[in-house]
Amino acid sequence: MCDKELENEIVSIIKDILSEKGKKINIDKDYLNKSIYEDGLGLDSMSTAVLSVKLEEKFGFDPYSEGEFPRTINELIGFYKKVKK
Amino acid sequence: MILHYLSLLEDNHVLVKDYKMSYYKKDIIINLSEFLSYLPKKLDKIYVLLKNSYELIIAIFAANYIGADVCVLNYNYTKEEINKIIEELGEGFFITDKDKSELIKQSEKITIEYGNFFNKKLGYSIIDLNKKDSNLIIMTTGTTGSPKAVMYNWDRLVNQVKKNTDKNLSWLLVYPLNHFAGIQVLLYSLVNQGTINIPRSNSFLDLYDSINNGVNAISATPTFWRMLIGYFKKMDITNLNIRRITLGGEIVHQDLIDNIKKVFPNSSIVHVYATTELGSCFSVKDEKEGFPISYLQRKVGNVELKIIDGELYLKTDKHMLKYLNSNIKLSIVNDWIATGDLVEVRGDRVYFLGRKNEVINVGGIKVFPAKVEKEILEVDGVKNVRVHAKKNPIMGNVVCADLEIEENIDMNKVINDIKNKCAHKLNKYEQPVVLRVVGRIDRLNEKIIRRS
Repeated sequence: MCDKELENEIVSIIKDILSEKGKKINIDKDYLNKSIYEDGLGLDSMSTAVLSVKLEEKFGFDPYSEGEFPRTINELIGFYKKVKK
Repeated sequence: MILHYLSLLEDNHVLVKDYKMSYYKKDIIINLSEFLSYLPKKLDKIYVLLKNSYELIIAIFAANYIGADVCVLNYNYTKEEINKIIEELGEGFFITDKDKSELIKQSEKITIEYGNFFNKKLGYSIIDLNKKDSNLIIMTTGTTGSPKAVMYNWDRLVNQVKKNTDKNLSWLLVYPLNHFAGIQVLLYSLVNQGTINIPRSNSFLDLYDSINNGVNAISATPTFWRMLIGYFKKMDITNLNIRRITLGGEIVHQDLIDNIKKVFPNSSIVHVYATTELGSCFSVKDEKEGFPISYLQRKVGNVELKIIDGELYLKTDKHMLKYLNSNIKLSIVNDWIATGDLVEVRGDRVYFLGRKNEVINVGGIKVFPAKVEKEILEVDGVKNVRVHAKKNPIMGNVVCADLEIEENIDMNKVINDIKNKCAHKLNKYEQPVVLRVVGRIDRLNEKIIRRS
């Protein structure tokens, strides 16, 4: 999976979770570096729990279970890139 | 006492029927006397491990005759499980159709008798039906932990059986006789002069054959009923005449009662509150889920009910004598027993929420699996569901649902329907994060296995 595919997968998972809460990602030039939580894109704790499950389903493991707490989509991409290497 | 009720039957009363033949009272007495001729006159404890339910009934009668305690074992137990039970409960006379070598560790202390006692028919014998005070030992299903041995006094059990004015009920034996609910069907039929129908197997076709052959009453778990109703929906069953249906062992939801009623409109549907440890405590006959709040204000068949901190407490004398292989005791405080069942009062009704130890803690919020299961089961195409916890690094746990879905149906549509229903009916903590379609949800004695 190349970096762009990885980004698309992660964005798509977050979009789905937010859309179930009736929220949309505002795709501006800086959204990859915005906080994914309530101070940014809008994931609350329950949605973050869902994110961890969906990431585990997609990639076989998730950063939260590994003790990490990525703040942005870019940090999430970074986590999977790092593990891939 | 069991034998007393046996003696009250007419000679030509059919107490047991299987797919091959009917067993009249007189056959039963003959088989019993023959069986007794193989047994030592005095025994303290008999272990029974038999596949054939009729032979098992005879063995139970025989144990009562001798005054021996009888431990009815699950036929599917492994050698290891059987040996563990014998180690815990102590030596006894063993009656089985299985080969000794595949069964029990070599031990001088255990006498083993095996072979078919029922090949030959001897003459009619009059048996002295003396009252003896012996006990039933039965294992819990083990859906929530490892099986525990539970002891009941036979006379007390028989005395608790409700005398019914509706005679001639012909019961389908769905539960095995090593199960408390199976024993209840046996005792109910004996006391109320009914008939027990032993199906050839528990496959739907064999069950159908049995039902079609005179069954008019069925006692089974909600899990079993959902499967049977699903199967019968596709068939012409106008010839089946079920007039009495009993549900127990798991929480009963309204949609199941309604669905059964659609398939068997002439039946009366009763759900019973019974557990292996507490006995058969009370029943609900108004064909609604939960039970009327009036049950909290008066005695219900000698049982009193109250709610403390959302948990159902009972004052009853119907419970077991004791556990035999566990130091755990029933928690009885001032005669009140904590059932471990959580309930909620809504309007004039009390509803079951689930077992106290099954509650899923999602970020500090209590989620009751039964509530989630109820919503999912109402979605078209869902045959069965098990809701359970999945560990989660953020919320501690999240809710997961394993699904059995009907064949030849659009799986994605069912999943979407479930998601939509849950989004409308459940809060965000209760909504399953994972929906997993599985071939078959594990069950024991037609109850969903809860332990994880």
